[in-house]
Amino acid sequence: MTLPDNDNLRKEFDSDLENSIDLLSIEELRIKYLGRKGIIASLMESMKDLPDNEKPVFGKSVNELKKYFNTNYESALKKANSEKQSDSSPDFDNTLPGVEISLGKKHPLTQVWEEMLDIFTRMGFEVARGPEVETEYYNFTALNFPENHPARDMQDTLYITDDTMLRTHTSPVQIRTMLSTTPPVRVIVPGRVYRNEAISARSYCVFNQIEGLYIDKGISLADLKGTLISFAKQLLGSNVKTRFRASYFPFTEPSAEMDVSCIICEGKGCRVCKHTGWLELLGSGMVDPNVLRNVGYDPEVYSGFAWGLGIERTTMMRYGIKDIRYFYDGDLRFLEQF
Amino acid sequence: MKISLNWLSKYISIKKSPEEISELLTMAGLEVSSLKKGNSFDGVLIGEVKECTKHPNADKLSLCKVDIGADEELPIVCGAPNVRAGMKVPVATVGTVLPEDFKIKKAKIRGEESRGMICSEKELQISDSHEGIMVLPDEWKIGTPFSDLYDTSDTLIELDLTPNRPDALSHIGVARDLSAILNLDLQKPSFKLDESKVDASSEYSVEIEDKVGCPRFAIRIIKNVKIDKSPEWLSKSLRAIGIRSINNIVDASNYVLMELGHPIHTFDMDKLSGNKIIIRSSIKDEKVVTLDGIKHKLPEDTVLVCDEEKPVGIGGIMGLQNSEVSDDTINLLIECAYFDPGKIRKSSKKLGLYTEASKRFERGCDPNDIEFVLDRVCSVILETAGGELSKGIIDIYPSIIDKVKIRLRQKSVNSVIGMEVSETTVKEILNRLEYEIRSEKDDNYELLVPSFRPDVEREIDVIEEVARIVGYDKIPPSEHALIPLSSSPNNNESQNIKLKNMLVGFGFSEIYTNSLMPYKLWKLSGDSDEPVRVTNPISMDMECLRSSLMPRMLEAVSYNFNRQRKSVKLFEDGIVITPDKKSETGVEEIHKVAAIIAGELSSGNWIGENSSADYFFLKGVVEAYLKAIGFSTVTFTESSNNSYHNRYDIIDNGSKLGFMGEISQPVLKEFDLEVGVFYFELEVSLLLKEMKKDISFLEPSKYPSIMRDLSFIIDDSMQSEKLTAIFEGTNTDLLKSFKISSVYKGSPLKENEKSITYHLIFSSNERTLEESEIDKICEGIINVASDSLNANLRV
Repeated sequence: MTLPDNDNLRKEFDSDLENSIDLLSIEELRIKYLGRKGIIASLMESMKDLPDNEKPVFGKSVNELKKYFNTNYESALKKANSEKQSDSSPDFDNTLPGVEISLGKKHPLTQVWEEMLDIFTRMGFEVARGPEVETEYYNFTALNFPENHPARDMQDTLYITDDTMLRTHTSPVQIRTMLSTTPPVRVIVPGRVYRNEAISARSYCVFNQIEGLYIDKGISLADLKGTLISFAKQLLGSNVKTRFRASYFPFTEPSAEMDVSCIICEGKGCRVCKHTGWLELLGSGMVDPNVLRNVGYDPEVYSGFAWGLGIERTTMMRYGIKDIRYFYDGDLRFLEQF
Repeated sequence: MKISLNWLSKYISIKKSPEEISELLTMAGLEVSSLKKGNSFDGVLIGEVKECTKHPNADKLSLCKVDIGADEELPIVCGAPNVRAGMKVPVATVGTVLPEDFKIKKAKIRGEESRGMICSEKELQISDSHEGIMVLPDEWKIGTPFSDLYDTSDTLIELDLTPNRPDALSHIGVARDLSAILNLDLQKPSFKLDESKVDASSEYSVEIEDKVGCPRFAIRIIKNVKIDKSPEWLSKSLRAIGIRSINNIVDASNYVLMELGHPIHTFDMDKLSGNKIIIRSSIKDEKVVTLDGIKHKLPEDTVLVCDEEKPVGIGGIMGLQNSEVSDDTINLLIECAYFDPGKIRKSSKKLGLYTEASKRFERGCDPNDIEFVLDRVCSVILETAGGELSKGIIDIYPSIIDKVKIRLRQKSVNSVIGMEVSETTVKEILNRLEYEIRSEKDDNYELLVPSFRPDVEREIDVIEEVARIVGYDKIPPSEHALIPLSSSPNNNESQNIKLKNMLVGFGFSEIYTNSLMPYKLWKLSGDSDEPVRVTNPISMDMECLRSSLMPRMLEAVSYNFNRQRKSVKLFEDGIVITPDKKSETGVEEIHKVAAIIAGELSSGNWIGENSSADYFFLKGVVEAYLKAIGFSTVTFTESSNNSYHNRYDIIDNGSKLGFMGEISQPVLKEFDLEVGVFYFELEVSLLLKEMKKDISFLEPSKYPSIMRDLSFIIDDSMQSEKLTAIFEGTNTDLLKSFKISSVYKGSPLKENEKSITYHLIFSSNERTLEESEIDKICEGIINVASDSLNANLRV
């Protein structure tokens, strides 16, 4: 009578079971004893060669063995599953830091620009971009800067040749945009601009502007105010107060500067706002009829407004940064804070 | 422009606080940049320096005994070079608090006791003069509070004016704006003038040769003046706005300049040759010496005021030394003229000479107030210096500059401003600002613009006047605006943001760097062309425009390493500029994104080793980045550039996306960097184009896949791509992917051999694969490798 060697197989299983402490080894145990090509399967396979009268006894014995394996395997699996979450031994030290995963940071100027982009995209503005090297015509003439006029001194210019220069503002893109489209126009223009200024805590020869332009029929100063107040509130919070005061830019008439209540002292007066309670946010105005004429728009039919602000200045204001050079040093100790 | 509120009150009576006045001016476009309120100077007394000896322990200090009318004389240590015994001086006694919270305390200065301070004008905020202590008139009584004798209650307002408002460079101009804002009367200065019987025109004549540069020139003559100190009211007025009193003649013309805004020049008539003033253009290289004693070589086409022999003034900019009024001057020739703004600006720029006069003339003075200004200055001179005024003005004004005529439509006022402004208000404002309303018809006005407003030329300019006086804050903001649905949404922008987000995800931080750099730094980009240069750089450190983002980024790496960083991963997104003769601006501008890696890949983990950045990490980032963007068939071609070691162009379907490489040793040495630095640069427009392509979705298989690992032994010098090509070349669609999972050199391989292991994944979307069919494919691969490359399977 041939019978499976249950005693030895049990012993072998028990010793394997003892070593099966994690899910992987328990799975190996299952494969070895209960798998498709495992010990039970091969015993069953060998049964077909036995004489018929021996088969039931042999089968019964294999089944006992199988049951034994199964029960023990399942309880081991259950136990391992309950333990698999983490090492719960008493010397586990959770106060050690996790593996350091380093995520980069976007530059604070990018972050502020993206916020502004978001606000204006929701208001239906598209982005237009233009070259950093410009001609005298786009940078000054078309924008109604008279030749030999002190207005040109408002922006110290870096020249490449006699009539090309590094743009001093993003406004030339207004001209390029209007020349290539018909009204209504609603664009914002981000970009680098250049001024012939020595580098100091308050000024840098390179900085970033964002400029906006809105042209349609029947646009008034009231629309300018509505749009820019909404922008300021979205950017700086709905409690921010705004005021518009008369100013001068060659390419707008009337011109206005927009101040916001100082975000440091909330308008009470402090060093940052020079005790006025106000900070200058942007320059704006109704597009000058000469500019409209220069791009072939009829100022009797169309009107509109434009504004511009320095992203560095706004970011400095927002975070109380006192030195503009931080933006251009690439110092990770600075950049990682944003 | 500095404005004294006391002075201003001569023309308009305002019952508002200095703060309120500042606010009104600021809101109407005359921005107040600072406000200095009067100070009572409690504790500052008049004293007399009784003794003045050298400080025993300090060369530049003096020991003074000062009588302030107290029981004993005060010992005071004074550092001013002009202190002398016998002087009357302002003394801040112990306990006094001077402006900017400067508290006077008892002190020992270099071992000598000092009880109080002798003050300079700056310390008392009277002017910016800090050259020495303030010397007071002898008749002032010792012990009197300073504020009893010296008016310190005035408020000084400093205006930061925009270049379109030359009219506001005067007290009367500022008062005029206030009169319109507050709807109050403006009181122009009034005076009477006694003329002698001598006709000025019988004594002198004027001839204008340069009619473009000088459209109008007028003179008056005063004889027998007595040069003297100015009366107190005059020197006080000037002092209030920070101008030092010189003498009664100079002060008079400065006073009228600051009152009316039109520059005046006085000549010592006896220093002029002949009896004719000629205004002409300078010829090349003419040399003159200006009032301040400085020699100038004049640019051509400068307006010159000359007598019959020589130039005596640079028109509209500065007088010359040879005809200057001095202490013994007796007879005066007084000039008031109108010069062409453009010409003045050009000359003043070329000469580098910016004066109170040039500032006003280049912005545009009133060509039509000249008689009034001359009369006014003569009245002040006669009052303060006596003398006889010759009869009449010699006034040459060949073609009269007419006032600008403008038609203003009430309708336009309302539509530009966006609210109803009543006709009454419009007219009131225009009257106060001295616009002349010639006629009114159907809500239209015919206006004449005052000639002191050269910036007002069109209807829109007048509307601005109305708007700013009404006040922008009165305009109700519109609650909504009609939005045309955008035809092209901000696609490029949002894709550009995604490009940055991916790099942030890879652990790179964004930097912005200066696009301008010295040639030496530019050279490190390794580009062979010449850079685009700025012709008038601030300094040579800002001369060249970047043609690659690398030099400045490398500088940033070194900046961080110098600050004890051990791991630096940075990226920048920006424009690079190279010469391009064919373009409109002579340059080509390309939008790039670049990243740089140096040092440890993760800084300071307590688990396991920290690996350092190397070439294959760089390549891994590039491959992952491009794959994430959507590229699938990128190849790399070796390219050379002295600044890089192992530099490869990154190519997709024949177009060059950019390059990557290791920065070469000589370049690293420039920054004293001792770690390997790895860099790639890609062209953004090409990346954006790829991102816009549609994604074609592939159904994942429902059937299990089969994996195999195959290792081949090849010659060490053979590039892996040859072997890889065999996998690419299999003509089965069951091989879904393969990658190199290990490269091995060493025992038991021969010295010139290496083994490369490929990990293969097979699957089908239709069925479960048979092991045998995969074996067959593998066999095929093994045979090809063996036949074509002599690569043997490692078993």
